Amino acid sequence: MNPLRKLFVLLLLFVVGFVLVGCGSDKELKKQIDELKETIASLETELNSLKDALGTNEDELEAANEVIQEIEEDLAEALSQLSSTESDLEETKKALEEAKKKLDELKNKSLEELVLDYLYNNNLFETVELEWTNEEDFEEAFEFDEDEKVYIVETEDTFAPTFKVKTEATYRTGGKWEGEGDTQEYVGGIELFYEKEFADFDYVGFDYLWLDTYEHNNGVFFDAETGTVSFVLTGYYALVFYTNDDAGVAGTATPAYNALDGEGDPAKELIIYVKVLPGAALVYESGKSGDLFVGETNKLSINDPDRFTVVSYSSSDPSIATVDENGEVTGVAAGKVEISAVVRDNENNEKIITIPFTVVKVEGKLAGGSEGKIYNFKYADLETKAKILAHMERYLINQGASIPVINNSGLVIYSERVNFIADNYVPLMGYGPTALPFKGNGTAKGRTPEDPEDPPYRMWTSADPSTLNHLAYADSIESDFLSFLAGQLFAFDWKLDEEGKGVGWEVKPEMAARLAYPVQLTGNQWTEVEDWNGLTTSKAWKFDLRQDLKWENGDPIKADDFIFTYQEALNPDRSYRRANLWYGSSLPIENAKDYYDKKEGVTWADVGIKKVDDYSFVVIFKDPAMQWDVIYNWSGFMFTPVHRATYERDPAKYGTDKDHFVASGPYKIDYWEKGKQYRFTKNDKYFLWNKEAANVEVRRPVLENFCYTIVKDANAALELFENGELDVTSVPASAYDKYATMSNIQKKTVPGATSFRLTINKMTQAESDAKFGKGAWQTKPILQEPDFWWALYFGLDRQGVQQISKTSTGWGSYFTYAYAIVAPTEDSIEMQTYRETEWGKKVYSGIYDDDVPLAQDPTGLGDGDLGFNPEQAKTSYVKAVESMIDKGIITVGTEQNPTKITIEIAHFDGTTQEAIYAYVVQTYNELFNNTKEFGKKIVFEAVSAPQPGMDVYYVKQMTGQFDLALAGISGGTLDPAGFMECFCDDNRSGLFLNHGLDSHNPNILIDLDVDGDGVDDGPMYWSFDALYSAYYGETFVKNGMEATPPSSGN
Amino acid sequence: MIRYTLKRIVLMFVTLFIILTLCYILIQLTTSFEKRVTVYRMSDPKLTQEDAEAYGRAHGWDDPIPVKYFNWLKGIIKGDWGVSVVKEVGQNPWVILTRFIPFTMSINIWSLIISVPLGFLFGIIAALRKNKPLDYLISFFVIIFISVPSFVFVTFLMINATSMGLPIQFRAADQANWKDYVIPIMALSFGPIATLTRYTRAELTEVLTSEYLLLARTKGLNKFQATVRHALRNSMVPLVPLIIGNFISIMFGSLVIERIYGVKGVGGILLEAISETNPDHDLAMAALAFYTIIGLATTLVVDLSYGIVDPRIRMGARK
Repeated sequence: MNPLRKLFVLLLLFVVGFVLVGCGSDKELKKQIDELKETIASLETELNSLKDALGTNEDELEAANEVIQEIEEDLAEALSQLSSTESDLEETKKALEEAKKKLDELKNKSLEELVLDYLYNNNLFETVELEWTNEEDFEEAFEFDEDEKVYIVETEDTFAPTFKVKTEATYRTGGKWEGEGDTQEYVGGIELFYEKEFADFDYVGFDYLWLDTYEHNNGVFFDAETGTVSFVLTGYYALVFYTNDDAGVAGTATPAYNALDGEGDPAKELIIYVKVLPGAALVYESGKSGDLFVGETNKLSINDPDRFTVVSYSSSDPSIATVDENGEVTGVAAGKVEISAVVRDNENNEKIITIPFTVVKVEGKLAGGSEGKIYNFKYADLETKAKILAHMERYLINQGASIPVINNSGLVIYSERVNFIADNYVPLMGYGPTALPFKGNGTAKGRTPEDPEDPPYRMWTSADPSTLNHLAYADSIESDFLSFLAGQLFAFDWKLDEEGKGVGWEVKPEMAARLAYPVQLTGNQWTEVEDWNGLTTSKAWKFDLRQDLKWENGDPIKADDFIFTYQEALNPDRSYRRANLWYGSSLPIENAKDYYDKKEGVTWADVGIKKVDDYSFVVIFKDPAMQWDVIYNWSGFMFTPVHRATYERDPAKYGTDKDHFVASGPYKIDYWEKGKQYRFTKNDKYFLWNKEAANVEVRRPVLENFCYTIVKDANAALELFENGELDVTSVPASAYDKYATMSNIQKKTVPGATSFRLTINKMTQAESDAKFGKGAWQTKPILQEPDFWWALYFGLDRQGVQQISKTSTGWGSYFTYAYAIVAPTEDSIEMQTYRETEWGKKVYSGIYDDDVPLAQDPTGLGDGDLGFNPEQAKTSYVKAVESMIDKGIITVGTEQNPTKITIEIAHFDGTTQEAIYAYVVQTYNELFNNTKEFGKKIVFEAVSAPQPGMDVYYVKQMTGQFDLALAGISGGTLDPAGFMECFCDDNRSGLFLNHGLDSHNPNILIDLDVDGDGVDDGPMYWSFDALYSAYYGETFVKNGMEATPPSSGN
Repeated sequence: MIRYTLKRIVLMFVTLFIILTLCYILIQLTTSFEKRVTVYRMSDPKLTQEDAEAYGRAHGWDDPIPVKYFNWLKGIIKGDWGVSVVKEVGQNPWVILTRFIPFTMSINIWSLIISVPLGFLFGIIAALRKNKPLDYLISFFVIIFISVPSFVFVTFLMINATSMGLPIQFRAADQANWKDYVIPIMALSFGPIATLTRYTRAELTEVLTSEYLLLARTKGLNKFQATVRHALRNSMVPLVPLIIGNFISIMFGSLVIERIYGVKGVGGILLEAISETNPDHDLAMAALAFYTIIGLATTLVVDLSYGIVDPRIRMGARK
């Protein structure tokens, strides 16, 4: 008997024997066992004799020996165990019968069959040829492009290739290999050669590659059971069919050469190149979606006009929407409708495709109506502006634009002698620690009252200013220095209440003799506009300077200095960093940009800056502006002059050391040691130090000496403060707990202007592919569920995050107390901290119908729980998952094989950040797993992904490759709406923060006074974009959306 | 000897060039045009992308690295090290550095000067009182000072500075005196003192038990004479490179110390200049060149000192 056959038999018997022996003490069985033992024993003797006969093939001998030994050992072991339960006996009987059947089968098989089975089970067949058997069918069904050498298929096509795999194997036994290398020969035994053909997919593996990146992009699906390939995404693909013995791990096949060029190795691997084109589909008009308002139109088009033509259009229900022969769909009445089109392709095949529409009749008016109107809320009062901002803010929260986490507030501690003018934080002004003389006798800690000199107000910073040339300043340290050293045309001064406490601010002229006023050209003279007020707009504004202005060295300051500086700022060769404050930004000057860009024919004379006399000049802006715009933008040091003589000596070095800088403001630098310390003393040439002579009523400046020390290490600064060598320092996180609870120290919390939020990527896969490229990111369907946005919002424990970060404050909305709304009126400028306005508070309690309150705190500001509501989070999560199940996006798994929902949260790296987001991730995972409804059948996993440097912006968010990502953004504290521009979905700001938010459809219902009669005109629907634009200036709004006004030639 | 020296000097320049090239490329790789433009835009939200890019192009942010490198190389050959753009706009980087080098060098050299005699002293004491309690005490401190990094010492000293009557931070130039140097020099010299002690002790014990010393004693020299005249001289040979090696480690240790203690040194300049978002490439290269030159110069001194201290090497070069 063939030794291999014997091995088979033995193995089977071993199994049987094992089963038998482990069972009952049935006598019959025992007899059978004994019989089998005898058979085994006889086989053993046969085997032993065979062993001798096998000859010298040592490997086989050894293998055989091993098997025999194993069997002997197992039999011995099995014999020593006996059990006697009934069920075991039954099972053993069955096993015995089956074993007998198999034994009989084996006996009936021919040697050849046995060998083939052996070879197959041990993967000894080698592929010789992989043949594609139904290639002709494929050639009929699909076009083959000769130039590119690809099959053209469409996204709904499938094809099922069939193969024939020719294999061969050689079975050798009883001999040995002699010789080496290529000349090896098997001598002394038998060699049997077999061939076999397979035609099933067990033996053929499949993989595909997207030829843009040679990777997978989920564009092709392969159903292994039916052997069908179907296409999902467009592009060029290489479909690779390989035989299992060559491919190794499935899914890693790589064509070894550049596709579309070479040829495959038809023996082992078959590569079919396809180009997947989109099937015929109808496309909505650009910028629009399948939502249609009654009366609105949407022009459909075909996605690939080269390959398809539309024969006709029709509507499934013309009473809801009609369509004309050009594909323009018009909404008639509310409801759902399908527009279908008959399309013909290049082979004259016709097909019907459809596209859905939902016609919406808005139960209310659309802003602008169907004719369109111009709206402008720039001059609206404080309450209206707050109302608009609140509606926009709440809309963003409701629409899941981003989840607010924290803002960058901080704890600042002051020495005992510091005297604050304000008890509560005033936006823009702060608490005013230098607006009053020091307390008591003004001495600092550690100095006695007898010390003749009060030390200056001592501050610290971590880096030197790089330059004091304000046209090139980059960092806040430079602007801090310049606010001491440079004068200001207009300055913000404290407004006090009856007790002398600072409660607000007022703008007062400083270097200017009076506030800027509007002028017009009469003849060739600039005359003041008549009867103008705070709301009058004008393009030309006049600046009258004081006549007693002097530089620190006594030189007079005149209009020429200002104009010279402005020309330098716009000098294209200098390419100054701050030049855009003149030519762009909020208030561009006429022709400044063209002059800066060196546009042909534009000279300095064209730029809107004109000298009038030695002490006055006129600026002409590109667009008409109100007085508040001019004052706000031109306050501060930016528009003050450089000292011409010093500057011209060496422009590149202006502001870099004492020789190259002259101060124009209330202080000058007395001691300038780079890298160490800067000391400011009063510049007595500045007119404000002699208020009576100057005839002004301005509080500032008060203190006479300041000192900035450069300290690199925040903890060292804290030590200096504790030792009485600094008057102010911020508290680093490591010392936070100690100071937060200390009672005998002056400390102030400064609300942050930067709010950090987790942006949600709500794009659908199609939107993401269209915007960022196919396969750039796999979007997560759960992030498109509105309930899940609420789950994320309510599931974020902001108090907990605050505990970890210490210095930042958890915050549940987009604007902190740092922001104020400003509304100029005819005779004054009104201001209020936005968060404290009625509407600012309503953002928390709810603005729209169906709004959920953001916090359970009854005061409406949610300072208490900061929006953390675990029950609500869980409920919303469950709703979101159920919605996905209803839509068929996911199914409920089982406990062994649960459905997984994963999202990734990208954020900055660093110990504190990572600790914060580890906590956030942990909270989400705890809340959203083991819910009552789904238990362990659905597993939710949030993962934290720290990003180095600024990658979280420009690697993650700017390229759309994220699920949730941290973004911090701030605007001017007097202009909170400023950064809302980033949420407009047409990316008009260039800083892309909108991922799937709809900002162009009229979704915001708001009741405003649109005709200026002082009475609200009823709720109307606006789009986010339209509201944003109208907030800042004239906007033409039609059907609630931004539109281009009809040209006047109509 | 002269030929050897010249050869070493030429090699030094070659090494300097290679190191600077590598540094240049590495620094350029830390930042990119997009990053700098994005950071620039964030400083003013109203700035448009085009204007920001135009500004970047005008300031040479978008040249490819090889182009930048060759421009820089051309400048170096002419002796023009470029211009600082962040630290002090428009200034020659070496002028900036000359303000800061004195502080760095004075701290480092003083650390070296103090560490040498103190190291020897403790090492000799430990060797002479070998295996007695004093030896153990010294060895114990040696282990601590070798293992604990210098910036830990600085922080520890800073915390206790006021109680020692020393300033917490290096003060402004018109207020500073010798007291400001105490803490950084102390912190920097602990490590070198420890290594020198350990080494001296080891060498000296070996020499003290050697036979020629026994001969010297039998010939009538007393213990002191034998130790100082013969033992010390012989154990000094490998000590010179050790001292110079300590100097290099002091120099790099001072990078951190300067920052923590507020010393106006070159280390701070370097660290600021290689920032990712606001880089000051020319200044960084000048600072790196400074450190490299000092390092290479000390290596050169080490190599030459072998020739001076050990006559065998001096002779051998003549073959």
